Amino acid sequence: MHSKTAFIKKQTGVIFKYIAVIMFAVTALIPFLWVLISSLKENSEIYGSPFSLPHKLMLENYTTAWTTAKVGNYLLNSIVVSFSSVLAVVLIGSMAAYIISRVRPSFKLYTYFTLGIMIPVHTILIPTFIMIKNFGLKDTRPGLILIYIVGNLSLTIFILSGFFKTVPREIEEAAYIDGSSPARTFFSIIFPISKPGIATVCTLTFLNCWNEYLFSYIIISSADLKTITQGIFSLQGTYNTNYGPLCAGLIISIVPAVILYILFQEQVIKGMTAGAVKG
Amino acid sequence: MTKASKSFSILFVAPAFILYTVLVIIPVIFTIYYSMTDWNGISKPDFSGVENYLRLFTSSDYWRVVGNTVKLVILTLLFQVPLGLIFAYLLFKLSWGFKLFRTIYFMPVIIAPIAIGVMFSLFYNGDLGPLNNFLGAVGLEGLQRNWLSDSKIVLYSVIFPQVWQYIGLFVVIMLASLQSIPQELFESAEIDGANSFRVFRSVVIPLMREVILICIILAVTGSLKSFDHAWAISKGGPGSSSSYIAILMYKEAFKNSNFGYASAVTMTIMLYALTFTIISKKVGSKNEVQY
Repeated sequence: MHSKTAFIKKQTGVIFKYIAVIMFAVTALIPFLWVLISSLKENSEIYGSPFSLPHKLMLENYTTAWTTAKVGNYLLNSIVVSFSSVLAVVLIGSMAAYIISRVRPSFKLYTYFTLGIMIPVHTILIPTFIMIKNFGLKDTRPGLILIYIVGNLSLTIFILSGFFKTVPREIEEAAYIDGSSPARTFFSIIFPISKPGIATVCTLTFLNCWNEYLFSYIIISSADLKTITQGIFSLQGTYNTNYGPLCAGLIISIVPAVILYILFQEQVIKGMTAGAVKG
Repeated sequence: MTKASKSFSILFVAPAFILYTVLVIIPVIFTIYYSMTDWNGISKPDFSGVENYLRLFTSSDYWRVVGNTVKLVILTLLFQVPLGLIFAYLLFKLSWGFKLFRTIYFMPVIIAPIAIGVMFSLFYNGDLGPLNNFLGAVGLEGLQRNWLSDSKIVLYSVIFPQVWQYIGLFVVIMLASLQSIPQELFESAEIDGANSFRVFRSVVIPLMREVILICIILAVTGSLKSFDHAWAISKGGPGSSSSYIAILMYKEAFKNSNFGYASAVTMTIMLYALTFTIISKKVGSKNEVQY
């Protein structure tokens, strides 16, 4: 083949590849861009000229969403619930993972805990709801947090077990020789050097809690305890033709997740694909 | 080296073990039990054997939602997984910017499904939404529809964002797998004169069989659990024209107080997921390609 034709052929191939890749990137971003731009417009502008840039920046949409529509409240509830769940699940999950993968390795326990990854959440929806109700924790934050803890426990133990197995034995042995108790060894030595695994688990659990809707909807009924996912859904109900604040509310609800993603992209990706690949 | 005492080990595992057993394992057993009862959630459950299952297997509503779920699964397998594979390969062959594109493609994956659903319900609004507006503006009024109220198409209005949202997940999973294929295989294929497409067909796909299978299992079991998107866009309506099995379960339990029947519906979800996973794994392990 003539080398010049081959070169042109190759370059065209490259150009087409880039066009396809860029077009797909655009489709991934456009919905969010539209919501973002609309959130800064007045309603009539959103309906009338949906694809133009804002006439002037209507920041009132955000204040309306935050205060009148209570999105600020919902955001706070989600932050409290998500952080608490992450803290608790990382603590008890890492403790259990440490034992079953290092201290007294137990394949039985490991299998027991990781079974949960394959159990769809709907399977336990009704009985868990009844249990939480009977514990008197319906419509409380702790009730929801408990559910989020167990919902993420299996994956946490799965990820951390794999991670702890890669920690060099010499570190533990050195600690024992120094007279460190097993508990101290865990909290002061193992835990800190497992930062990458812990970070993966934290970001994954946080996102799972932040984005969770069904249990939140079922457990929480008081307006001031609602999480952001419930909030967005009810916003759609009450503000259903009030696109300005509705879009602002949407943006507010996804900003924390996006920030987390930008800061901890590798951990987020690792976490979400680990969960996916095992299940 | 002193071994940690038994009591220490038990203490460390106990919190996770107790919570998990009480709030995950025991509920699974209860669901199986409830599925065989007639129960309104308040008075004592009334044992009814297989009555719930007989009822649902003869219910047109049930088969309607199963059909909807199957349509979702088919469209997911037709578009989401293949597009994931194609774009993973395209990114893999890119000489510049693959990290940027990977970041962009994965972003929808991290957003709450309910938020995606609400977002698209805005687009679909017949009078106020940008979709019909855009179609009108480019002279395609004929394509304008009642995306949300037309029971013949509302299911597809729901399916579209679901498929769209998670393409990036498969791109990332398959990209990671592509990157683990030894370079020599690509180089030798190129020396033999194969072009990109040929390499894709004869080298990449056989070596990625296992990952592709995992993605298929993921896509199907994920589809079986679908709830948020349909709920946000149309609440499963009109009627049950855009409901999935999980939505039927929810409505039966929390709207109609048929907790027993709803539990039976849930059990069928688990049954389908388990069956599919087992069959796929058996089929997949038959011809493995080694290199």
